Amino acid sequence: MRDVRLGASNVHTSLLRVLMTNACSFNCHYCPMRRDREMPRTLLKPGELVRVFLAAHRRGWCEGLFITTGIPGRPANVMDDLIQVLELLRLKHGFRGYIHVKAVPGAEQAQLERLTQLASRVSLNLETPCGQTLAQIAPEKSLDVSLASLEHIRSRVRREWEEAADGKPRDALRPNGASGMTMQFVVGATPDSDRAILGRVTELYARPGIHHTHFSAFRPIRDTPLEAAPETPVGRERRLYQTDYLLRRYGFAPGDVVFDAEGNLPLGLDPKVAAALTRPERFPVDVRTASREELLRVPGIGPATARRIVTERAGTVLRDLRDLRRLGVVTTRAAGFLTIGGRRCADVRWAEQMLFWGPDDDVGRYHAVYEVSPGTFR
Amino acid sequence: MRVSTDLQTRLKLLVDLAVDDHDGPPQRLST
Repeated sequence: MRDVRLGASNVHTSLLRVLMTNACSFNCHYCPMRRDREMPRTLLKPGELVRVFLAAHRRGWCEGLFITTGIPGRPANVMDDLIQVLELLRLKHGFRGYIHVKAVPGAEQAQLERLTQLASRVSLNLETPCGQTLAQIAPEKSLDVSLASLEHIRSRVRREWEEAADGKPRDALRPNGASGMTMQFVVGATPDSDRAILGRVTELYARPGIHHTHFSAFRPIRDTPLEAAPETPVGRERRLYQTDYLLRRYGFAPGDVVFDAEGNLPLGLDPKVAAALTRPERFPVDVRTASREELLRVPGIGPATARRIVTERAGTVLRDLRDLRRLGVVTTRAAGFLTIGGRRCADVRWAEQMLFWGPDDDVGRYHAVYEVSPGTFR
Repeated sequence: MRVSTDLQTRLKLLVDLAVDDHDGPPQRLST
């Protein structure tokens, strides 16, 4: 069971996370369930999965369901099983809660339609930003096929959003993927840079329908072709998530993101601080007069805090860092980039000092091999 | 909940494999 947050509304729900089956005909080099790996294989029939979930739900152990699956045989077969789970829950048992389901690569269009109609959220694993590198680690997958599926699901989600905006009442039994899609990348299993990954992400964000992206740091799994490959530092995953926030919610454009010579986000520096330090002409900004957009560029000020500052200063005079802390500003990070009524709050040099540390010098000394990778299924 | 031993075993395997440290994007990563 996991507690998750849905959308930007800070509504939390707890999910039962389960695989339909761990049998798989795909031989992805990074995956613990790949075809050629020895492991016990099993499955749940749709009726069994539904019965277990409803029993757990009735006891209050979980509010919603996250289902993913291996792909034994034809993708269409397991898609039929996933659809059957959703049909049983929604149409037979009248379950109106949250269901997140992973669409299978190679699913038929009519199946994607039906799955999306009944799910709150549909997600897709793109794995890599580029078709060539995907072929190196997932021989049975095609990025073009996955992107076509994504567009098909997206069109349904988008239609639902447009109709909701026009006043169509929500149908909890047929939510049409209204929570928005998510997509996932495995980071570090291929030479794809952060710039390439984020380039693909921003391209896909350009049209509505996608809620957010998941980045899963690669872990070498025992008895897989990538067993000897180095583990991706979790810090890299974290930097990608941070930057994803900046792109989705802070008004950052791809050109605002700072990359190193290899096209990766600097591991040793927060991406917002990095962006601020490379644009010194934009700072300091004055908290009494700066626009919400300018405040959002300041490290230590998030969207909610920027909104609070703009509201608060309309009726009162902000005098010092204590006032800013009260509004939620992380002043240890923000002070060097701010003035209050023309007065500097702190020197920005503290932020520059962070650059003295190299990017995670200790990463990679110890080679761990895993049985499973938390984050394989997001 | 009454489930058979066989179902319990299968369920445990399939739930353990679906483990993750988060499903939504991690919170408060940026300010």
